[in-house]
Amino acid sequence: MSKRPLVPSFLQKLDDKLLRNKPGAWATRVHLVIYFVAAFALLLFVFCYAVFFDAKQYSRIESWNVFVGLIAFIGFVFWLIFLLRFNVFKRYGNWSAMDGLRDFALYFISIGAMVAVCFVPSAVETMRANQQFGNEEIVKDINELNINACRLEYNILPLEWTVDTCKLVDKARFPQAVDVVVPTPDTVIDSVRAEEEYNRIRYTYLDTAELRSKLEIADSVLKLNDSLYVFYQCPNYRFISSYNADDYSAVKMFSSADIYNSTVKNYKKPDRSALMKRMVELQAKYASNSPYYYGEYNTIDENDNYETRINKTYDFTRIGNGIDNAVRKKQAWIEDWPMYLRIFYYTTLLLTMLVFIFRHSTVKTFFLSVLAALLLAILTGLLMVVSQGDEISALSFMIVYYVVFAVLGLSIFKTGVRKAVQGIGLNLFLFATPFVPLIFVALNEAMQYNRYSEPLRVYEERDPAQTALYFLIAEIAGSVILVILIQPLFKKLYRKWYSAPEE
Amino acid sequence: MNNPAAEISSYLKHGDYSVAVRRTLDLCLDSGNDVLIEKAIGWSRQYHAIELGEAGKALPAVFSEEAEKILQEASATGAGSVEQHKHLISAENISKKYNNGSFSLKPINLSVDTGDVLGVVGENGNGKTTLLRCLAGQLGLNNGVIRYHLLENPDAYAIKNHIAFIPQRIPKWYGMLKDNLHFSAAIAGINGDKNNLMVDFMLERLNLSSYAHLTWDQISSGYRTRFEIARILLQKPRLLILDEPLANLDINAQQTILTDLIFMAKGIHNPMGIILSSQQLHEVEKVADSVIFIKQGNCIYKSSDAEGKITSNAVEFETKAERESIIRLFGEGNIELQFNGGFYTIISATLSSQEIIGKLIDAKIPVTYFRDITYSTKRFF
Repeated sequence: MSKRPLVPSFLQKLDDKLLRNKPGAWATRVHLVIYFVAAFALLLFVFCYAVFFDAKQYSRIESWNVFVGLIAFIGFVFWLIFLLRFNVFKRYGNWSAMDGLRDFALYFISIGAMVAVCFVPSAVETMRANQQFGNEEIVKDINELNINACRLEYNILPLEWTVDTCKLVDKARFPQAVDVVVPTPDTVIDSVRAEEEYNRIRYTYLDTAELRSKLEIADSVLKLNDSLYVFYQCPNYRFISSYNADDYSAVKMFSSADIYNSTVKNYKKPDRSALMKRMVELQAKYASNSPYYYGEYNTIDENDNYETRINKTYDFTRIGNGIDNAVRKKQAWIEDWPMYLRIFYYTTLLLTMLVFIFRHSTVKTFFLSVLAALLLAILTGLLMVVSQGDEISALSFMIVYYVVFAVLGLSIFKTGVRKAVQGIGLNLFLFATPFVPLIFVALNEAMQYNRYSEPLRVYEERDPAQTALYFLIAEIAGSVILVILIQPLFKKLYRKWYSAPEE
Repeated sequence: MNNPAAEISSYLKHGDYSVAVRRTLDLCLDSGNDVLIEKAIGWSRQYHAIELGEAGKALPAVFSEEAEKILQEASATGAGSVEQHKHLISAENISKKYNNGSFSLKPINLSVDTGDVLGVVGENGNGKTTLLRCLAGQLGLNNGVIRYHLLENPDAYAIKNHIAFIPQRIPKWYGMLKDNLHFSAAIAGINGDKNNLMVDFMLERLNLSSYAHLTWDQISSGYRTRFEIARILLQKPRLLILDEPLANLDINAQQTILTDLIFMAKGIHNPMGIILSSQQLHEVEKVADSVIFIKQGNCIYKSSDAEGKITSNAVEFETKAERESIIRLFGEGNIELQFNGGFYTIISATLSSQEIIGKLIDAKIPVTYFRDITYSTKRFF
């Protein structure tokens, strides 16, 4: 037995044992892959843990992903070289009833381990960001920064709220409609200086959708009647405002109106030195090292407005960047995990299928299959361009192709010699199988969508969550179908095709 | 071979240690006793260690004593008894025509039983490899049928599992040679300690132990052939088909490999049939139970059909004597004399080969080479 470098004795023993007792499993080298991937992942984890110590800095995770991805790819190629050395199937060895499924599962595990390692830097970055900053901590600090800035710079803060009187109209039917209605006091939602605005005569015309949006963000609203609204907008006191920072926090970020009510409206002179000290602390805690783009950014100009002055005085641009960076890192895995999962799953699945096909096909037929798939894609693209085909046409083409592949693949049961065209059909039949339910769901969705475009058809809004659920079910169903068919259908077809005499 | 132990003792007695070691290993394998096989492997290693050591060094007395003990134990197990022949494969009127129409193999009938060796001879490009690939299930037939008698309703995969085909150009092995042997044994269902034992046995049997830790690129083409044979034998095929196995072997190795294959084919551990093609007519004819000769896709000679049908004797010999003196010796019209530039061939309906060589010696014609080719396919070249 050859002594492999960097392999501990227990793994060497396992390798020996597998070689002598489970040659099929041994040939996949899954035990070595898991060991080396785990060792590399651990090393990477330690390295990333040390490197990603400051969550407020700009994330370079894309570069890390490319770097680790390249290493994983080299590992994949290295594994392939070892994998292709030994093949029970092509040596016509003894095999058990579930060997095909077992091989597929072991390829999936091996490739999955190599793909998964690419996510280590991103996971460590998120972990480090969560260790460094708590959800509530960030929100409290943002509120504190804004309030302190207001208290320190009260003298330059604007105190007047802006007013916007809006009239609700049907813009489609009455684009020129102008109306003035006397308000009734009992419709007032927020009474902030409402009476003073009654005499405004310039309206902003809104339709219902615009009104709804405006209501959501308004600091204060006075409803004069069903179609006339007075919107009051507090001056901006949120100099630091990180998007989504309070999504996962019990404490919420103060709005400008909150700050106005708590701090500005009843202003009390602060202890400036204590506040300044605290601001310096927070600056050190959050300010990122991101460079300014336009020279000495912090030099205050006499034409600067109050927001710019405050930003420059307290280095809020850098602090804001730092908080944004930290929040983005903290929430990366919460918000993007379905995407990460899909990237992981489909990369692994596609590579696994390619490896499985390569292991059961001849080299010539494998590459002819790849070529056939590329040619079909190009031809279909050309046909689509020439015939101005839509999504339904493209999906219909895919279904027709799948049927052709299936017929070619299944015809292997009826023939006594090995034909390349049948091998190509079988390869593509297997490769397309997990995507067939997705194609059907996509086709159904496209047809439903087209139906709503028909004249006199009442539009029924599709629930995006329900559509997403259909696609998710189709994704799972495709994989389940593949797993179910691998042993009883695909492995049998490959057995018959590969061992058949040549023409 | 009624008493293999006695035969091996005789080899030992006369100092034919190499063949004695190989035959002892076969005997122990046939015994099916793992302990005995292990002992024989150890004993063989001793021999090879001494053989590799100082040239001409005598084997210690303990070596022969141990051999006798092993032989006694093997004899006690009843090893060496001959397996009954079973029908293995029969081909009826099989023919093959390539799609490009460049060559066609005309209908051929043949059959091979377990323990049989069938030699396929012929010039290059006349269909030997095509025939072997058809029999191995690698090429589809245009006509005829091949029956694999030990398999019931086999599919192509089962047939290829049942048959081993060693092509003339052996595909490269990757990784360490020994790992490949372990792998081959394991995929044939030889697992665990038995796997180690059988690999060690095969390495010793083919005298490959000292090369087992090398890689494919580190060994010569002759050793590659031997390793490939070791790998195939570990998979225990019932029919072994070899295309030009002697091409890369030196003259000694040719003899050794052929006799080893014959012994193993006729053993009871894994009795098998062998079909081999070769240009080495005499070597093949020496070991084959039957020989067929193929010319331009036609089977023009079958040794099994030739008995009683040959009406003339033929010999080939090499001499520096003039053609005229040879004709004078045998008399014009009594023989047919041919000269191919190297050898003379005499064909005679009346004289036997013994009579021909006798006359040559009596006439003091110097003969440096002589062979009776009456039943040899050499007559057709």
